[in-house]
Amino acid sequence: MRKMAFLSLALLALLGFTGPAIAAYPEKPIKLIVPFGAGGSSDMSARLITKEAEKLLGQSIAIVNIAGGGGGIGTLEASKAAPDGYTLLWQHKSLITAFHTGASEINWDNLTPISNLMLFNEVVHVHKDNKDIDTLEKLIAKGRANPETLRLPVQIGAGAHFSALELEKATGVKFHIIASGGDTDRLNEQLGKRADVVFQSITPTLPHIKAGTLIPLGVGAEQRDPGLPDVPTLTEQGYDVVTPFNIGLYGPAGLPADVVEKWDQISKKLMENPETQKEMAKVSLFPSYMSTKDFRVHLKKLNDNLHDLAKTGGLLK
Amino acid sequence: MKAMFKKFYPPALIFAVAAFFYWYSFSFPPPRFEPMGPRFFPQCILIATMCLCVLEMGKAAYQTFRNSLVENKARPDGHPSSRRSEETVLLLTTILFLLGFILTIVFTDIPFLLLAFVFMILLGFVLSKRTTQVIRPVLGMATGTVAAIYLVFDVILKAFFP
Amino acid sequence: MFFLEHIGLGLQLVLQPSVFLLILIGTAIGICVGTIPGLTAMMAIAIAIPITYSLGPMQGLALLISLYVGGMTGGLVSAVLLNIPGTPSSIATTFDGYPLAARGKPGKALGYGIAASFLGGGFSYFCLLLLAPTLAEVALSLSPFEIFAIVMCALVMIADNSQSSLSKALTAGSVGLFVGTIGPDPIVGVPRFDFDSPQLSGGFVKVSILIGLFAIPQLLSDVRHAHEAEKTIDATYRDILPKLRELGQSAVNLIRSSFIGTLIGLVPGVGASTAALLAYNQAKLASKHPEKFGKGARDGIFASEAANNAVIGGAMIPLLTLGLPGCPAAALLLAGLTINNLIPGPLLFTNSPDITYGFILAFMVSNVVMVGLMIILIKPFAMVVRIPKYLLIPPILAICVIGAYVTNNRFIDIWVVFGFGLLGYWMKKHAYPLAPMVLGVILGPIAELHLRRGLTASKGSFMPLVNEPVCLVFLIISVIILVYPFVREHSRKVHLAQSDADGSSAGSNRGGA
Repeated sequence: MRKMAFLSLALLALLGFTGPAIAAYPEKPIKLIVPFGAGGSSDMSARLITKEAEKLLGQSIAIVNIAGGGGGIGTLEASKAAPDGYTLLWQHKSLITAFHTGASEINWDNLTPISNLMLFNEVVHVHKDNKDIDTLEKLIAKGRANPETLRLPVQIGAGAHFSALELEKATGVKFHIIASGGDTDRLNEQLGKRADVVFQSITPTLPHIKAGTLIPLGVGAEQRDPGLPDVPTLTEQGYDVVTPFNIGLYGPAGLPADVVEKWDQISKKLMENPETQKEMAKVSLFPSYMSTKDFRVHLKKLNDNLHDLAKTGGLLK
Repeated sequence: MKAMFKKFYPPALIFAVAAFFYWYSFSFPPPRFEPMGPRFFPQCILIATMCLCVLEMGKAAYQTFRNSLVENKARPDGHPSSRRSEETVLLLTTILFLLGFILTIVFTDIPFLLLAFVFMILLGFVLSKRTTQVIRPVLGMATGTVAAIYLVFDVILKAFFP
Repeated sequence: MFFLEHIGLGLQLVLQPSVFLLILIGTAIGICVGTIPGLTAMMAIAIAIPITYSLGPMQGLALLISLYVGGMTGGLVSAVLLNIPGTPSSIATTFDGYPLAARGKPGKALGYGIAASFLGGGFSYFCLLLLAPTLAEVALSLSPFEIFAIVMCALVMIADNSQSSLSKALTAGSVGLFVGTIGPDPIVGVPRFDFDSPQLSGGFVKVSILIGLFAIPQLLSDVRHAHEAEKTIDATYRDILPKLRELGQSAVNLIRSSFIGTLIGLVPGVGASTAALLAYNQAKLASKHPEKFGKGARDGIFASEAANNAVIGGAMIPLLTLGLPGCPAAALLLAGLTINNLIPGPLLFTNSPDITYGFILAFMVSNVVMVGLMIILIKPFAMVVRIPKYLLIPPILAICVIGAYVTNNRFIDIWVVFGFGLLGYWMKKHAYPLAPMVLGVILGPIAELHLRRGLTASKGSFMPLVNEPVCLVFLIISVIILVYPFVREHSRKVHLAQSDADGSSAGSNRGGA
């Protein structure tokens, strides 16, 4: 008798632990993987929206930074997670560039793209003490006259590297490309005068541009960036370099449709929120919501574009 | 001879493993965009390791050679051999328990806190004098630790449990 | 006058009851987290960031700051009591902290550690307050080659350990360096030594390796003494708190170590463990009794703990003045600042002086709170050594397991702890010291990263290593450290031979006369 009682108790206990089959999503906190170091634009953009997103979601969101490999390591982690909607990925074009350079095994179609939320632009800047290259014209002239002399730090294989290649293609300048890290590392190189020119996202450079330590030469966008309204775009100056970083949400492959739908809705609402827009504008981030369908189209085009760039730039793995 | 083997085999083993990894490292892609590439640093380290191991093996061989020229006095054991084997048994048991603990965490769905509780009670008992006196403190330790883990990890850190 | 006004404003902000309470809670949690091997201050800060959304800016920042300060200090507790560093920054504290505790003086060892942490941290916070803009220049000026030279110097320093042969220490160090290369390549991201396993391609989490190499072998060797425990310990406050005389005697050491810590904190990417090691080694070189190091020398504890807390203040300098975070924890604080619309950079001090100074002062307040809490906690902490090992080993093993998992939620990390634990035990048994190995794992990737970055800048030339002044200095120091033990041994042998000769000739003279 006692044996039976014990067995049935054990069975009950085991059953208790199997957990509910279907429950309202989300019922526990979400992990958002940011595959870049804390403090860079990718990271800051994620943190900016988590506040609002948590309210819309009804659950807390934990940001986990897993930096390295041009974003490849964090992406890998996210792709291996269970497709239950509790682990998501915050990525931009470095997802694709890392794939083409061999740093990552995961491309956009190995994941479930959910939606695109925002974008940031990049600016070409030099240190104020470099008087001989303080305009775009002077920079290009010097660069063309002295190939492989102007030092341009990039993170090898990341989106910034590809932007540098586009810059080279459009201006005809061969830069001396230096291996560095994320946004803050490259900023460090510039401020420490170990680099001549940097092409990086606007967000971390704003305080230094405002203080006058860095001189912006041109923005790589279609229109002037509201964060730097006095700085002409590179296109305006005659160089067709447009390199926006569209940041979006992804989930592991096989994410259920209702989870995707839910996050798509949340993304839309987040980007329509005027408060969020204001916060974003302060750090030069702009809403560029794309629904799941549009996002997929965008990614396919971007993928082909970057693949070609990698091929011609000799970056293909 | 046995003493020499004991001193000789660790560096030899490390040397062999290092050599294997050195061979394996040639499968890394060659350098691109920068002069060193993924291979250089590990290879330098592995070569340094192998050289150091050769040095160690040389020292071991030299010392054994020198010792064999001197009369070998029988050295008394530090511990009586029965105590030594009991310690080894304890050590192996601990390792096995730890292994079992990890295996059950990884491969079953039994909640971590329960497994930890059982693990701590079993191990605590085994390591102790195994009298009835120790049951209370061991239970206390296990309960206290589980409570502390729950408090720190779940409540404060909102961590995810395996 | 402006300056003092701003400090006044900042002080007002910091001493608000809500802020003070948060500092208290944060420091306490930080100490707990730091003590537990496997949990780091960074983790606690990362988890706290969402909590700060609902708090006011000063409150949120105060919480993050106090977690950082507490976490950095907490590591010394388990380092001293269990020979298991709670955080990598306390590795050097185990060298002398644990032997002193094992001699029946755990309270004293803890007391030294706390005093040094307080003084070192305080020194760096004053630097932050008064010298931030000047020192920020230093932060910028180091090139990748120079950082490489500093890190290599630190690596070489660990090898000089009187407790084991140099060659074994170097072997352990290079094994550690090798383990550090497993995982994605730091520049290109190509996975190395992963044998095509997705589990391994992410590399090992440093903390799991630390637990595996330090905690497991220590616990396994403790199994042999499972019935033992310290019978008497020093637990009166008279014994615990270091006397002013002791502090005075070690003043130079303390100042130098704090200075080293602050400087290393300034340099992006180097880290507190390097600082603690450099300070430890410098203290040993400068000491009149270097043979006491490794056996419970208080200067060893002072050096390590002063340096690792001084790193905090140092790291804040480039963060506040330039927006450049030097380490992961600083990067999280950067996120904390940005969320609250405080953009660090040249304009931070002019745009929001009150909260910026509040931020700095929060470190100082947290420092004081930390000392207060720790003094209260020393007695219960010290009691831990009186607990028989059979009651200590199981819980610590369990905590190590969960601690390893929690960092990245991967099962592989638990296996890493187990595997490296066995490896560590084997190596320890064959007289290979473990500290160089762990440090190789931590410092190797940093060294490689900067070396390769530097090489792209110099287009493949190694010349900057001897051209740049800082590099040259540190390379020379490394060579001296490698060669010095041999020179010392040699001169000692010569000295002994001399006195033997003198002695025998004197003897025969006397005999003759």
